[in-house]
Amino acid sequence: MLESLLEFLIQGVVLGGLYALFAVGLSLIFGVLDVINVAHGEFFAIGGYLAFAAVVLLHLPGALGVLGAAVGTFLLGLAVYPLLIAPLKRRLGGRPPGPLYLVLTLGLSTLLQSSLLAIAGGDYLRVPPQVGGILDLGVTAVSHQRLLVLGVAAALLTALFAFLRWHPQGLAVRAVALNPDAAQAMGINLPRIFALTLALGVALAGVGGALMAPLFNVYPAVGFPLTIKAFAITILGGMGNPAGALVASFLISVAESLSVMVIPSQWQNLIAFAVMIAMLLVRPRGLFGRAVTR
Amino acid sequence: MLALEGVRGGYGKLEILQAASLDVPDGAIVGIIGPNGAGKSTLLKTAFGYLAPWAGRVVLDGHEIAGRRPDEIMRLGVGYLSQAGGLFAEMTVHDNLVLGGYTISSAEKRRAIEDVYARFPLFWERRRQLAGALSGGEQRLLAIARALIVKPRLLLLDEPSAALAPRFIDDIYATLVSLNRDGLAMLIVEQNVEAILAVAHRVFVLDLGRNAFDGTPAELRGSDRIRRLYLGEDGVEGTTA
Repeated sequence: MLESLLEFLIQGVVLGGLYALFAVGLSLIFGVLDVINVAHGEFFAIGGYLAFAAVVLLHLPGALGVLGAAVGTFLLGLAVYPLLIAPLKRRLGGRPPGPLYLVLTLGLSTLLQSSLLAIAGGDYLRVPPQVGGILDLGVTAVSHQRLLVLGVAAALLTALFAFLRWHPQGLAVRAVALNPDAAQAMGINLPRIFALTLALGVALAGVGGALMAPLFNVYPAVGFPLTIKAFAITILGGMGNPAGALVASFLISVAESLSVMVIPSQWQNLIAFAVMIAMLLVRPRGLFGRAVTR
Repeated sequence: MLALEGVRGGYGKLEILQAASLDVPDGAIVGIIGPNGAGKSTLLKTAFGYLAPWAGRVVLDGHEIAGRRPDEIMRLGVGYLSQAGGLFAEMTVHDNLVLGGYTISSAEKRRAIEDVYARFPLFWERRRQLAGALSGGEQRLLAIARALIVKPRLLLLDEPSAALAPRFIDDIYATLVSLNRDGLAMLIVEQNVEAILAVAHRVFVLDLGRNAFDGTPAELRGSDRIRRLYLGEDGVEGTTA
């Protein structure tokens, strides 16, 4: 019993790394731009395709595939604010957007998925692991690739939170999340911060896609279920609260993993959504409220 | 230095400013007073670029700045303090000051923040506290200190005395007068008529988005019509106008 508990706990923590990489970016984007990015999963897929192109088509090392995914999705993300969100914002004037941003990113999600389908086809593509081998922990074994995901997630998220805490641009991101008008009075260029935040958020998803490509197959809709799960995670952590999303990622992943000890595994995926609905009904602000600020 | 000429504007389709005009000479303290809803804060927001004017001109140092973003106007040497001060309440005192120097080099910023700590030792002692934990008066002083880090030439202040105890109002205005002696020009929207009349070189009275008076505080006190309409029958309407 104890061995099983440890095994599922370890698997849950490893899965939490992927969830965190994905959900923290989604939450950061919402916290700063007030935009629920339904297209987040497509950047995960694009990361996977870029890793496939680098490693399988160009025969580059796996690390370059991950780097290419990070840079590629970051650059794509940089274009989303000025090309899509800013024009809509200008058309709205000062009027509240209502569901329009949600519809806009849903449109972007469909556009990107359809484009991937047209360019790469619907085949499931396999990417070789960036690292081979398995770590035997006694109670369980974890592939080096999964540990790599956890390690890279830890490094990138530590870097992200350090950036938000100490770097002048990171402080500016937090200031914009708190009070955009006051941030402008400090000389902060809002469109630039919005574009940067969106690019950082989707680049985290892109790196996740590149790292998970050897574990999942790569196909156009590979990221969409993760987007839906990330909504549940961000609601649990507090919408727009990246640190809350980080904690919630591990809570959900460990809960999912441990749940198979007491419920049939086909119910495992429902855990996140049951938690999401319960949170919305009982505590809509999530466990930690909204804050990109601390 | 700053001139607004026949500015019309407002929110959505609601017109608040109806051809309002004013000017702020170099080094002057200019006050804007008027009844609630007169468009005082709207005028300040329009001058700083939060709102684009529908018509008229906003001119800084001879150059049209209407339509520019607030961060662009800030980089031209104009500071803005909103009614609530615009502090980032959930960030530390120090981080607020660091953000105040967002547009200048790290070395300049470090020197400027050291100057703030030397002038206001309280902020050095509380540099790691959240700005929101300071008292109302301290928050207002921190907002002013933060705005000064980039050494602006003109400061726009929206009701710096709002919701403050009289002791803090005196502190705030003593600080503003001292800064003005160093050459900083100010455009101050104020409900506290006595406080602004005591320090302003020129006063504009705004009513229903239009200019109702333009002159010195002495001229305003000497105008029976303005005293009756905006300061109460005998020139003193509590502390508000």
